[in-house]
Amino acid sequence: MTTLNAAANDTAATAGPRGFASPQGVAGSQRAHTAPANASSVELRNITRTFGAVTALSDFSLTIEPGEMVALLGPSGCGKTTALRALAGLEDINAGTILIDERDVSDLPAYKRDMAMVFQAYSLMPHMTVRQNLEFVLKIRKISAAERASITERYLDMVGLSGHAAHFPHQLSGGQRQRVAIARALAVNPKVLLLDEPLSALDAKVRVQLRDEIRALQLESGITALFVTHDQEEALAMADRVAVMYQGKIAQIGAPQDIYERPESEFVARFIGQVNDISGTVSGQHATTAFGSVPVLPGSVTGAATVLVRPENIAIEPAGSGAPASTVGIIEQFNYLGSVASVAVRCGDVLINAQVPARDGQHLVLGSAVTVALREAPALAV
Amino acid sequence: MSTYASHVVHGPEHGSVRDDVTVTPDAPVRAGARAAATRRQTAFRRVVYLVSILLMAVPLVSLVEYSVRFPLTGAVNLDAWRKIFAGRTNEYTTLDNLWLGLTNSLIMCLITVVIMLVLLLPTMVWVRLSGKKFSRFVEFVCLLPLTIPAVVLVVGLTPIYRVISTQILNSSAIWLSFAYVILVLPFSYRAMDAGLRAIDLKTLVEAARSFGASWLTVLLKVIVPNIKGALVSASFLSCAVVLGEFTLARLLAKDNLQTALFVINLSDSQVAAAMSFLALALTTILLVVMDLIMNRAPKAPKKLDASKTYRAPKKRIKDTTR
Repeated sequence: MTTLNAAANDTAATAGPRGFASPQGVAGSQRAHTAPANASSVELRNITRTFGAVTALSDFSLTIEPGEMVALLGPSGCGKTTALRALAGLEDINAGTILIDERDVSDLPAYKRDMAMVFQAYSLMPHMTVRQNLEFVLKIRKISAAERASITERYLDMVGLSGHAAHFPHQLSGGQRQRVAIARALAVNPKVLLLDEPLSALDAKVRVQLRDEIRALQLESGITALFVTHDQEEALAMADRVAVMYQGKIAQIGAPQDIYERPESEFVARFIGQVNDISGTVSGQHATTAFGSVPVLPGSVTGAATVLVRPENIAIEPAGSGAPASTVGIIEQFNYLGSVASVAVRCGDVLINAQVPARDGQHLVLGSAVTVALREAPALAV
Repeated sequence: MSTYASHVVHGPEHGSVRDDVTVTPDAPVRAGARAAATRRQTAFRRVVYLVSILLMAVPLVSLVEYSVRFPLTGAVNLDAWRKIFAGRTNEYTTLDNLWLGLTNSLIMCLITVVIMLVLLLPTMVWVRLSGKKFSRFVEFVCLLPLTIPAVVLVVGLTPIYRVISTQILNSSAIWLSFAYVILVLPFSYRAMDAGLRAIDLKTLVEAARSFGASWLTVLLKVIVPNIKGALVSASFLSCAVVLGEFTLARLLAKDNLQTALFVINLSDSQVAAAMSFLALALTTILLVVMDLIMNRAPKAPKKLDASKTYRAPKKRIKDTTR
């Protein structure tokens, strides 16, 4: 990524070469984070924002480490966009402090905060060509004409759109437009990159592709980034840490795997992925249910409880002769989804949803009897 | 007015409207039907053009005819036109007032348009960004002048102009521009509102702001270029109102084009007709020039030749989004 290194030096000549995070597996894997030397830290401290009677952010706090990408994930109306906009300076806050590199920017207007934002759509200047769009923001940052030209060229090359420099936004596809928007955001070498549902307006295939590209570019440039999405897959795939928001607060923040496998509250467990409600009894570190016993996560209740079990943590086998009657059910639905198959099993009055590798599902026939068992994965009991 | 018209007729929806013509599923029949529909459309369009041209041309032709034909005898002569350029209708009436009125009106056009743009554009942008709260109020205020007759307006304006004439500026007619800004508000408001509605104002402004653009940059570099058509039509409408204004000027005893024409009309109606036509032609030329200046096709920057700058995208980022 020499191109990018050079570009970063162009815009921040005094900062020296950036220590880039080594590009690792882009999506899905755990990444150990290496913070680049000049990346910025962000801290939102006790932010409150109300709109009339509605509280969008209530005592909201979030810290983003230098070079880290944090995803704000939540249902609509949970305040995630408000949090992003508050950081950008596009939204006033009623109370709280916003710190960038430990400097209080709460009272700075948007244009002095040195950030760049990628919006959901239509944020390119429609009257400017792709090249002019990039040069425009560089010009705002008072970068000389010669540098502007070379930076523009580099970043367009980086997103693979050099050939479209002379095109107007309306001549590009949605994915290309967002690429230009991303190139434009990175070109100004901002302290923080803000992404407000940048993929929501795109179709599924482009979304996945661009998702990986954004993550790769962010890792390469080492820019601190905050990313807002309502798509959990996007959040889990892209972010170093995911903050699940609920009613203006962070319900849980952690690595994608922690959020998914070790939810701390019923809301998080139900919001991320799917769960089965299985009744059982919790005593000590284990919950005992009709389908077996599982370890419980911290934060679980004791006594009679509902155990929230992920579909992939349920094992399904053709019913043998010795199986206890309470664990036997009838396959009511079988959906082949390519790599996996989703199976719905009726056990008395409960319907258990399980997910099995598709090749293991060949012997599962609609209407046949199967035994249901819980795998040894920790679950939350509520 | 070509800009405004082109915005209305040749919008991006143009193609889709045409595609809807075909309704029959059968291919040959469909082709025939399409051809017939196109023919019908063309014929209809021609009729509309013809009627429009007649509607506009008849009064103009009559005006010119009246200026060159002596009413009693019907003899054609160019006396009225000669008088205009000679500067004197008869020994008692000079045309000085007429030229003064025309000059005043043109200056007022300019001042009115400038004040209107400087006042209205930032206000409307602010109102649209700040949500519904103020937009109703501003719309109400801007449309109010339509409902108040100019005669009533004068009652309020008279004491104000007394102060302006004696204490702040002077009694020159061009200060009528301030009052004209009020008169043009409803028209320019409508035109600008349509323009601002057509763009995603909030996102564009926020995008520019988040990149560090000041409000002035946002206004001049982001908003103005995107609503140029609306600004041009707002300016055109304002000019049309100012050039046609009579009541305020007459009642406040100021000279503008219309009051001067009125006075000439009393003594030499043929000259008034000729002058009306001349003013109209002059205005048309002015507006066309304005249109050309404000709507120059965007210059393609140098080095934008795609064939020269194109380089194959890097392998890692494949471009399959097309």
